[in-house]
Amino acid sequence: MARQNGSSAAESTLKKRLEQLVNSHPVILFMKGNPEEPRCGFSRRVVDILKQEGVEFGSFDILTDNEVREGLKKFSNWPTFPQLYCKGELLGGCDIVIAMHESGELKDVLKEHNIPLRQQGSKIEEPVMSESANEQSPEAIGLTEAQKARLESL
Amino acid sequence: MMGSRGTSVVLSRAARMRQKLQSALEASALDIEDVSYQHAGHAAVKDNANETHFNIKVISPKFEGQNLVKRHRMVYDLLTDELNSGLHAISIVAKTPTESGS
Repeated sequence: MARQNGSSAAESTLKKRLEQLVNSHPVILFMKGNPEEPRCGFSRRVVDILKQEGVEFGSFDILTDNEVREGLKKFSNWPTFPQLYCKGELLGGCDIVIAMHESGELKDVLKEHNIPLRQQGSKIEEPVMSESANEQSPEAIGLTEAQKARLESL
Repeated sequence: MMGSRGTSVVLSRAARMRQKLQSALEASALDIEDVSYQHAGHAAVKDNANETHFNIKVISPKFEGQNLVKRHRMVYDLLTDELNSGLHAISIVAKTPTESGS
């Protein structure tokens, strides 16, 4: 009995830790290695997709922590890695992330959860600024020729 | 429907997987491809291990109304014994007959 109690206490400590981990970032990837140096091709593909989507994400290297590695499989009822979470909820593994990326669904899900996405090749401030100026015509806010040309080229 | 290539050793896990998936999912199509060779030397693959990585394509009416996470869990659940005995990773495409256009 004492042993059982001990192990269930350890289990609930681990569960709490896993809950905190999956909620530690709005988007978090449990992977092999880290985003700079993935140690598995499947993890690498998910990192590449998240970068393409322009989403900021946290990551956890499950190769450095066997308790998390084994615990998360049970916690999420998902036996393999990588695992991608958004707002504490499992979005899926590599296949699902690829499918959602290709169908455009991933972007939609991230937007639904109010995850900010960087535009490809532009800084995040720019679209925000042009949005706030939407109601006014370029003339009304006195843009220079250079600024107009730049706006048109966007 | 059994794979026609490979030795009986190579077929064994694939054959078990086929049996489990086919009967539980009533699959109208089921492709199981052993891609372990692509992962030879992978850190998690021990020496001489084979049948560690598979691509699975399955069409099943049981996926109707289930999102991708649930569909993949259904496949994983059926393969728990395999995952606990050396199956390292599977790539899954899980569609309904309607989605596959068949």
